[in-house]
Amino acid sequence: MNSFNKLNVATRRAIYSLGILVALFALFSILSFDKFMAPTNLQNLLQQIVTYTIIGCGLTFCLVCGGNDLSAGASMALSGIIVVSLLAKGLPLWLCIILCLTMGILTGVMNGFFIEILGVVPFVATLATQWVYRGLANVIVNGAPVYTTTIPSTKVQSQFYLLGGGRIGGDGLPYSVIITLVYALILGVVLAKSSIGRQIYACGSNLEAAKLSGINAVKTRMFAYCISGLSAAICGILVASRLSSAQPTAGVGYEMEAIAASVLGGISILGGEGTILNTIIGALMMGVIRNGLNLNGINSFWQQVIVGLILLVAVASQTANKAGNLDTIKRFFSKKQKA
Amino acid sequence: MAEELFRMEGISKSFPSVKALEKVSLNVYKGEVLGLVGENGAGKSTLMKILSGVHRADEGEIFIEGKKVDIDSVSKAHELGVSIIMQELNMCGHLSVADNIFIGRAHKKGLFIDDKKMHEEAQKILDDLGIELNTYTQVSSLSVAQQQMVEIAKAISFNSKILVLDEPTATLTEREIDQLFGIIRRLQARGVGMVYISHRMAELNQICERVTIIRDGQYIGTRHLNEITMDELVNMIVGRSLEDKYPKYKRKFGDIALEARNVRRGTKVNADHFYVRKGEILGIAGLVGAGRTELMRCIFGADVADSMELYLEGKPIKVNSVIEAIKHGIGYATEDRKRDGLALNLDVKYNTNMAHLSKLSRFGFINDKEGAKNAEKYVKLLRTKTPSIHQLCKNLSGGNQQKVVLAKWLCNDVKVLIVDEPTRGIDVGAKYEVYELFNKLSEQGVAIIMISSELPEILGMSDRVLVIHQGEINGELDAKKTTQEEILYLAAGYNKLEGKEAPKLSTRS
Repeated sequence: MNSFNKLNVATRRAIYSLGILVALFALFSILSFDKFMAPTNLQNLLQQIVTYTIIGCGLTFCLVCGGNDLSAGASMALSGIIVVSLLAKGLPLWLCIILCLTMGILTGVMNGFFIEILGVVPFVATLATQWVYRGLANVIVNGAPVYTTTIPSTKVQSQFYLLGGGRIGGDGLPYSVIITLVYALILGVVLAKSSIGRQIYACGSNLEAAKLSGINAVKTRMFAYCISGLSAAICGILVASRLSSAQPTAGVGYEMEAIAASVLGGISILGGEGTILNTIIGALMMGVIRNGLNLNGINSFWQQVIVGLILLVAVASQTANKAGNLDTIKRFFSKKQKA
Repeated sequence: MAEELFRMEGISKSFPSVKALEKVSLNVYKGEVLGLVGENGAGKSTLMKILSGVHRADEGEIFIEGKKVDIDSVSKAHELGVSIIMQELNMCGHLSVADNIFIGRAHKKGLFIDDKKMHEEAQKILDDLGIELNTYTQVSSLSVAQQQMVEIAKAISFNSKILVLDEPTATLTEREIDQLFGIIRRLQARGVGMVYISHRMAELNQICERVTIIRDGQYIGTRHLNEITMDELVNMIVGRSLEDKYPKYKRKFGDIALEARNVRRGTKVNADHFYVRKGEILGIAGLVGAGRTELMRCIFGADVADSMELYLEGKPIKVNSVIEAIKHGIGYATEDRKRDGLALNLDVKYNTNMAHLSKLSRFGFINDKEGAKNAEKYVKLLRTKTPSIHQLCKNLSGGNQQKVVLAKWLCNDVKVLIVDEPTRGIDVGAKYEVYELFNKLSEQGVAIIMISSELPEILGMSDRVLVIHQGEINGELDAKKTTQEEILYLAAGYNKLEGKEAPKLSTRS
């Protein structure tokens, strides 16, 4: 127990969350083993969490450096629209993807500009750019979805579909899951091992100390927003590919799901703590809960209630061991009795 | 020692509301520890922040090893070999010791951080300085003294030639101070020049040969410590003898205003019995971390005590929350004005009325006119220097902020006012006004409990002194008869080591 306490908070939370994940897994296996443990179901489960794992990994950079990014969902929709519209113009697939990813990074630059250079609070700045990006997506296609059937070459159509919808050997593990894994692995290494990653932790842990140590905080945090934008763009491409269409209304609330997954996995919303592993565990938890409830015939409205409650309980129990909290709780109830 | 390491000449600096420094100069030789002394707010920290690139001087020049330099940023200062260990440590608590030492410039192997090499290098620096620490430990789990040593190690890792230590011993224990001095001596031997800011005369005698004195932003002089007596030095620092620093006033005591018995909370607070009379100022002395603030937080209901009996004017009362304490007429002006005393982003009016809202409200709505009137009244009464009651508190100077904090409690008709380090970070003039205000309150019969780490203030202002040691009351003294030495002796708990009882006054003195 003592050595457990010595681990840093995020690692402890990761272990804790992993425990819950295993418990959930066991629970749903018992409730409906055949359905839940079927390979197709597990593959579906993974495919379902692709979106908020990718967005969540990008958001983790923002959260760890003490920021936030509410524009991720909108920027994802914009990327989807852009990639499909460009393809429809007959441009080659690789060029479209590069342009789309560049655009994703640019959305991050714009967020970073307002937050770091002009000093707008991250929450407000990205709340605003959320509308800007969503609006642009609507403007480009005049509010209507674009289908991949508008792509002139059928070869490109099917190539594009493979990215998000294709599976190994036709019915195996989806490519999108593999892309997600590789991407998460890269981001994980960057955050944990590169010097920019270490600087992100420094900024999130104590911005003043970071600046006084000669770290270029503006550059560092700008980088985090760019990663978030890039992640949203990748996610946008994968979703458009799987659905064979791009919707300007895609990805509404995805950023919230991603934040929820990160927090569930043990990322501190106050910055300075957490790794990509935390986010992945959190995303898996969300996926398992949703999938398990689905299989057991719980309707989607109740699912929302349950997911919300699980999030509250999980986060409250992570913080409840702090003495101050117990004090407040004790006092709250003692007063109630007197009144 | 003859070779000069650096020199600051004619440094001036103004902030929007104050002239912080005017034509201050100092120089340091290689391998020297120069003491820099002056009262709170004299400009010591500002001067050193200019040296280390945090602030820029309006006027003046800096020479390092005879060459004129322009220090315009922290990283430029690092390049030139200047590092500062601030009074308030600035560390990334979530990161490891090695990460903090090499923050922003970790060792790399190709694209990635070479953790192994970084920890090895960090360990080497720590070993060199004789610091026993594991480089993998998370900084937030270290004691303040250990964190400070990490800061020093970090400064050394920049190959610093010039090191500024801003009140490094303020929160250290005796043993930790010895360890720190060991490190300082080792650096001295390497030819590092240091500026050592401290209020503790004994330490200066131990570690420095020369001291530079500044007062109210002015250069007063530089002296060899063996050529000057302590009294002369204090005179140079204060500019007047100690007696004139505290307004003379004869207090009249009434009945006991507040009495507390058996106040206990965890291991931090363990007070048997104390009281304060109407019109009396009760000084609370003790080392940092002795539990003075914790004790008072219990009395004020900010923390819930495990056990506590309180009597207000002889009647037993229950205080389980701040709200109850305020209802009973107990006020608490906190230690850290900026953190928990004021809403800095709100104006003087709001802050004055903050603890007073229910009395200004009808049916839950605030009577703004009354509020403004009330705020105006206290600005006038306390002579708070502010352009208007709509000025934001963050734009006021420390002394005037403190006045707003006090106004907040005064308008609540307090019977017992607890003030925690009431003059920390306030300039000399404003201090005097705060003291006069305390006297005025005491005349009105308010009982004041004053926590202070400045012994002259304790002796100069209070009537009785309680000394706290490890959460217990370790001595009750008559402020007119005791000395700084006696208080320190009790505060450090030496009487316990020698098996002597803590002194007590008879209840009716």
